[in-house]
Amino acid sequence: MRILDIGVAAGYGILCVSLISLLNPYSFDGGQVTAASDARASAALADYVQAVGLSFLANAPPSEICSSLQARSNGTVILGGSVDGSACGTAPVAFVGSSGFGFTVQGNQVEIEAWVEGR
Amino acid sequence: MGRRAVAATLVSLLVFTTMLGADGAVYSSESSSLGSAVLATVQLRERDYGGLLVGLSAFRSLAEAQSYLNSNTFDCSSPQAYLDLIAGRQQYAGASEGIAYSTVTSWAYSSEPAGENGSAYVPGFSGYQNGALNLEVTTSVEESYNDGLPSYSFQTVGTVHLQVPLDAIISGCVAALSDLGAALSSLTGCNSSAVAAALNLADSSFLLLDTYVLGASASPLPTGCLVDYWVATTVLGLGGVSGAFQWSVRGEGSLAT
Repeated sequence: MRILDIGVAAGYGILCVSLISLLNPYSFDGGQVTAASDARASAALADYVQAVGLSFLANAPPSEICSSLQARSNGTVILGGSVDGSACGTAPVAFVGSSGFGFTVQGNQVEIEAWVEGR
Repeated sequence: MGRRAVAATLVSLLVFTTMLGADGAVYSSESSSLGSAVLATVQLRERDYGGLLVGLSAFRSLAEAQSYLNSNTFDCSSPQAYLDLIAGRQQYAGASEGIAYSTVTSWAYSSEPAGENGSAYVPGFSGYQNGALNLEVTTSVEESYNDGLPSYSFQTVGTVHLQVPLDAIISGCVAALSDLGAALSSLTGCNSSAVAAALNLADSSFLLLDTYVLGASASPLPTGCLVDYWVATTVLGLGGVSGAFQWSVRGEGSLAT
């Protein structure tokens, strides 16, 4: 009887601890940070296009567009992209959020990307 | 001893069940919170993309209008018919970051401000400008995330402009046409030499005509002479979204002497 009692209690305890570790609420923290950072990257991307204007992106050579992307990057938000396949900048080694938008202007395929640095 | 063991087992069952319940409640709450955060992020992204899509619509409308101006000579004698033909419509669809979008854009020449103040994505061309070539752009945008929710759709009307001094070009052309008509009204004969002499006189008498190419022809009528005449010029260095461009302008008139 005692052995059965201990067995049931121990088994139930192990089951509960397993479920508690499986349903770890802290695992969502990273997701929320990513969601917030994605929104930040998206806003940074829109701000960049507004600042330089679509006319600039349609007519400037890729090197000038690349310079403007680098000039508007800062310590936390990195901008990059490509114009007609000519890539500019790469994603940072560690980033918590990103956003990208591609469009065609004047026959040029422009892709603007933004990354929020962090771990 | 046996009762104690049962009691201890029951207490441990209660403790573990409480812990599991509490963890489940926190887990469920965090899961719901993450879902809300992701939903909010997608909504913000759709809003940002919406602004970009309206900007792209404004840009494409201006580029199409610029292309039309660049390849079609403007008749200042009947400007409205020419300006009406600037109107157009385009549809675009695409997807980015899981957001599928489609836009329908229509534009037309506008002689007065309409709707919102253009688009911040076309600096230098946004909003209504007096005397310039203004366009009213209507854009309908539809977005959806993974072909589902959240979806976002709206329609916006704004005014943008090309840096073309339309009013000044029309008034200059009409004045030049009027000057030439005045010079030809006192034609001494109904032949090409009389027309050439009148054109030379007009060119030297009216300063405005220096910037125009002039032409005329005379054909005899039973009771006089019919003179057809024209002025033409090309306006260079106009500001457009696709870069500087030129615009050919022409005016025609006729008179009977």
